[in-house]
Amino acid sequence: MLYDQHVDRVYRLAFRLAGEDELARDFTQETFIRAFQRLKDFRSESSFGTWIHTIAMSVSLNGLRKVKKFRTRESSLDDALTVGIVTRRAEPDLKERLRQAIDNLPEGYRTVFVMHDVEGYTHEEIGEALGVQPGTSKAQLFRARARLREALADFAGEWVS
Amino acid sequence: MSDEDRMDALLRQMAAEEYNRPPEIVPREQMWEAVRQGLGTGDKGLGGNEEQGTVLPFRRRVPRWVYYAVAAALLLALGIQLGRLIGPSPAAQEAVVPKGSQLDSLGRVSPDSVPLVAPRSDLARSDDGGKGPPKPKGGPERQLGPDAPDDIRARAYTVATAQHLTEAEAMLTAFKGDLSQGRMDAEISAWGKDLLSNTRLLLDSPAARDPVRRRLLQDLELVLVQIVQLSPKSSARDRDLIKGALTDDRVLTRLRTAIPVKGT
Repeated sequence: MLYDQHVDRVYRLAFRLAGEDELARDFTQETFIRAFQRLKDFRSESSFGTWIHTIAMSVSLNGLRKVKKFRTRESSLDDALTVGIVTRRAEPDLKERLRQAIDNLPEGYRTVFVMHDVEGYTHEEIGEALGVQPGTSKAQLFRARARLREALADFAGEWVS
Repeated sequence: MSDEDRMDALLRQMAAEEYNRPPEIVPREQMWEAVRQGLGTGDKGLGGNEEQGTVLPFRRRVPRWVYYAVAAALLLALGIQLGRLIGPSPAAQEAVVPKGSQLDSLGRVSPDSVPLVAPRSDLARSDDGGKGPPKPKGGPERQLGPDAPDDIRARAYTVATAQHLTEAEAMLTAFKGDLSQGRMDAEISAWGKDLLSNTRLLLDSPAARDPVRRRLLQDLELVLVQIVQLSPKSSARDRDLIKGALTDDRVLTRLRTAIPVKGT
């Protein structure tokens, strides 16, 4: 069955991008609903897996933009309420710094990094899912890695030793 | 292997292990149930003709020309309103007042006295393959086009409902995110109040004459009431109840299937 064949991979990717079970479920469900509604538009020139990943990326990225937009507005309000309050935070550890660095990547870099380096998609698969050339995917990944190295430069000594 | 390559490899490994790591068990069954309900297939299963489902993509129900017609109707209404302000003659006024409606003290048509025309629930069938809206039939009364404004009004309600549902979907998505993190934001509550009053207005309008849409608006209203009443002091049970209402009634999924799909 098409659903069983692809649901795990779509959910995993949605979770990696969203970081929350609720959102990952919503994105996965929405992906399959749209796919089944448009099933007759599917052309067998590409595989069903490729096609459904195209829908999944569109649903996930649009959904995340909506959530981000709202949370940005929310956090700016929080910032306004806490003006003048000095908070002292502990230095985050490497895992937390890595998470922040990936979260802070531009959307395109982050998406390609997560798909390729975290979930193991090929540049061809990424290109088809995002509607870009494989070369663009490679370039985005190269830049994403450079940004991460730069963001985590102070840990470099520990890593390469 | 250079230092950069070593660092990249370590980064990759650490990201794969730590970054937004998904759970080992994928909630396949729950998601499948939601997908099936979202498609309106119930127990009939999938793979059949799409037309069998109760949910049709919005764009197929409302063709592009309807948007132009609504814009034209709004422009026309503005022109009529301006004309009335300038001061029409009583004879001209009589000609535009629908039968059975009454004028108020300022000479305007009382909205309560104007008979509402039910929106056409069979909008999909009313599409005539892009040939345009149905043409008014002949006859002296038809020359004022009593059918055309009513038809357009019904479609205007459809467009307004779609916009409302889109906003409700964005709000509930944000709310669900907060709920899963145990947060409660006052701004969401204010947003919910706005949506709640609009939902009530739509429920009292011809937009709610379509039974499927009415059920969706009623469920949405229930969820919004619960969200609006939620406060930071509310118990975990209150939050669970809202979560249950969102999940059990599949409000969010139904909203998403009822709103237009961008780029299709």
